[in-house]
Amino acid sequence: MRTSPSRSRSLSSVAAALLLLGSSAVALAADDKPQPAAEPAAAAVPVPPPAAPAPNAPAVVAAPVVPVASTPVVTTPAPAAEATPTVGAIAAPPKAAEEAPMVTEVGIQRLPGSAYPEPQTRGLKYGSLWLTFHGLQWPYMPATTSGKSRFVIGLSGWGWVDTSYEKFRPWGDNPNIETSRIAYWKQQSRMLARVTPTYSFEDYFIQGQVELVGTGDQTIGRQDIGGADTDDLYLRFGQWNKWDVQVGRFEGWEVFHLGMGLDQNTFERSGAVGPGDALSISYYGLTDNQFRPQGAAGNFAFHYYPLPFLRFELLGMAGSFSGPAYATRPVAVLDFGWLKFKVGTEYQKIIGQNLSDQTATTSKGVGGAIQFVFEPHIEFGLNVAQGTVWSVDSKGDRNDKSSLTRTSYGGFATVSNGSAKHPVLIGIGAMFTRNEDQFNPNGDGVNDNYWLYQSYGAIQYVMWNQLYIKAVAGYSRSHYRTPTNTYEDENVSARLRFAYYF
Amino acid sequence: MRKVSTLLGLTLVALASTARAQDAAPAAVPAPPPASAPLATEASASPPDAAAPHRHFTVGLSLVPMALGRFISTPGGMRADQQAAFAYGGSLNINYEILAGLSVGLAPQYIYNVKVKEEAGDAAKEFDAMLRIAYTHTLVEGTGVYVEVLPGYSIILPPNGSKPAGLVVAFGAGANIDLSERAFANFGAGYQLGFQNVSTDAGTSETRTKFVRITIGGGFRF
Repeated sequence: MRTSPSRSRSLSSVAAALLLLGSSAVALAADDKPQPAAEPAAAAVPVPPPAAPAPNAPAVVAAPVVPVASTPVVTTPAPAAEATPTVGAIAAPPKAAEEAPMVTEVGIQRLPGSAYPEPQTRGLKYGSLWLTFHGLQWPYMPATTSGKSRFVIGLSGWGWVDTSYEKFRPWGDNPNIETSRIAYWKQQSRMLARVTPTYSFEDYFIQGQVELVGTGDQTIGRQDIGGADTDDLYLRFGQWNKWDVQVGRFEGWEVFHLGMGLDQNTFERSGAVGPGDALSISYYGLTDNQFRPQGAAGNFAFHYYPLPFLRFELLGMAGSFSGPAYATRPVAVLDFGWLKFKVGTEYQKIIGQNLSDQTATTSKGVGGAIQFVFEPHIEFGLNVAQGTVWSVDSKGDRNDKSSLTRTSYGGFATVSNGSAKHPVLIGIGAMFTRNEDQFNPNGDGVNDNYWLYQSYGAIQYVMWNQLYIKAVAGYSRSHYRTPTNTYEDENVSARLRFAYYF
Repeated sequence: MRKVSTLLGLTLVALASTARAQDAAPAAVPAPPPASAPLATEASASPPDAAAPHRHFTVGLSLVPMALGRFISTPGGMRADQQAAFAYGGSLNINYEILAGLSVGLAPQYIYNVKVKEEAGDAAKEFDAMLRIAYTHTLVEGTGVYVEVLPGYSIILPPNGSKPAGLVVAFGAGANIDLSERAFANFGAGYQLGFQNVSTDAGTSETRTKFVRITIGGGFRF
């Protein structure tokens, strides 16, 4: 039988679609035919029958690792070739051809609980700290316990829908006060499917991750037209629990932790900064280079795990925003479980694109956080950071309004009823941020000095272990003192979030 | 032919999703149904102690931030209803359970920064001596929800001048979370209405406060 190129392409598409479908939660009966494989030698080896389901593993959970082929013949080349046609070229480990017997398992797997490492407690179960990984390597998908290498496409993800309300109540000597006197209703949503192809052998791994994003508003962004399409998009390789190198689009390790509120893209996160407020302010928590870079820029990072409770990230960023940009952000995490201490510093520089353009914005900062977890009922933490921005315009003159010092400090606390069946958590948190820039046209020492206070209270119930229902009430206030006027703004907000982690 | 075989093979690989879940996991992590959300060591609740005595007496302390409020006054006979500044304070509550779930007690509170939001200058303080009648329903082990009504008497303490006083009533609802056999945390919200008046030589006039009342605190059972 001949296969035309076009037919081959269409079959490839079908195969790709079925690969995705194969990740569904439906457990299918094993095919008792030998698995055709790329190499004839491998094709001759029958597939072992599937093992019995784990007693506690419902069928809907598992789209498990499926052995493609195994061979007892020592002379057979590394079975990495079996995986290659599936998802792209995978180099065989250096000594694979010499080791016997070696089996590479190939499959699609909904990430099991073990993919989310917790050598020490991450936080109260279902709480905000627990949903943070504190620098741990995840998804954690090592080779099999028997030492076999394996290739797995891990599937996971999460999504949320927020329905929220906010109202601004400004007062004072603001000429644009009516612009800020507004109220909003809003529903936003974001859902992502996380695909994590991982090849593990011995203690080593190669891992890619793409988070495919569906997004509802969040005021669009990410170069607009539909908004974000991906969150994570990276490659990583290294040794489990020892070190790794990561390149692509991903977030740096978290230092500031905000608790159950002030989630990204929410009203309480923006705070009392209305459209009529001339100066923009938001909290600074070593955050210039924490979040995924926008535009034509990406991160690279080296992670080092010298001890089970000590982790380091050396993150770099390069690319272009308004002009060429580069940055670095080293962070250390000391994690004893009940006590977590995080500290970091960062540096970022953005310069003009044109060689004669002297534009330069230099941002620096340092910050730290300490967190306590007393299972199963209480966790709390404190954050503090300070940073500076030094801005020079295209002629080489200082940009006074954009040259500023930022200081933020705050904390959070969460309590849980500790129930495994009906977990209820209550959280509070607050953050205070002050910015002071160099704008002083009167030469009298009175320059722009403005602050933002943000706070929230939240209650959360988790249904069926995976559906998070959270109500958040927020209060924020800001104060603006400029060389010409002084005014205030205030914001109250309420939000109901349904989130599903899978 | 080889291409077709390969594709079919890959398809079968994809479809051969048998229930051999987690066999490659380095350690058995039992997944609660339906399973693989981020799992961790079970943060199990304190086991119910059937022999534990039922405690009727509770004492609690709460922070009372009141971000939304109104300040009503009638200077010169003209009624002015203005936004109140962010008032904040503390509350003590002492309760005794007289029937299953129903408790009565005292809940005095002291509030700072009582003034019109846009008004510069010193703020007044407010003291509310309130009774507390609450009904608590245990939803699940270690977690209860409550409704409460707090009638009482209030006095506003300005930096100088006459002191408006009068009745006050608050309504609220919230949740209690057990932290141990004796300790609990609570989080509630409600509304408080004051009916304070002030008497001057010119007669009696209204100087009243209304607040959205948030309570964040905890307490102990005895």
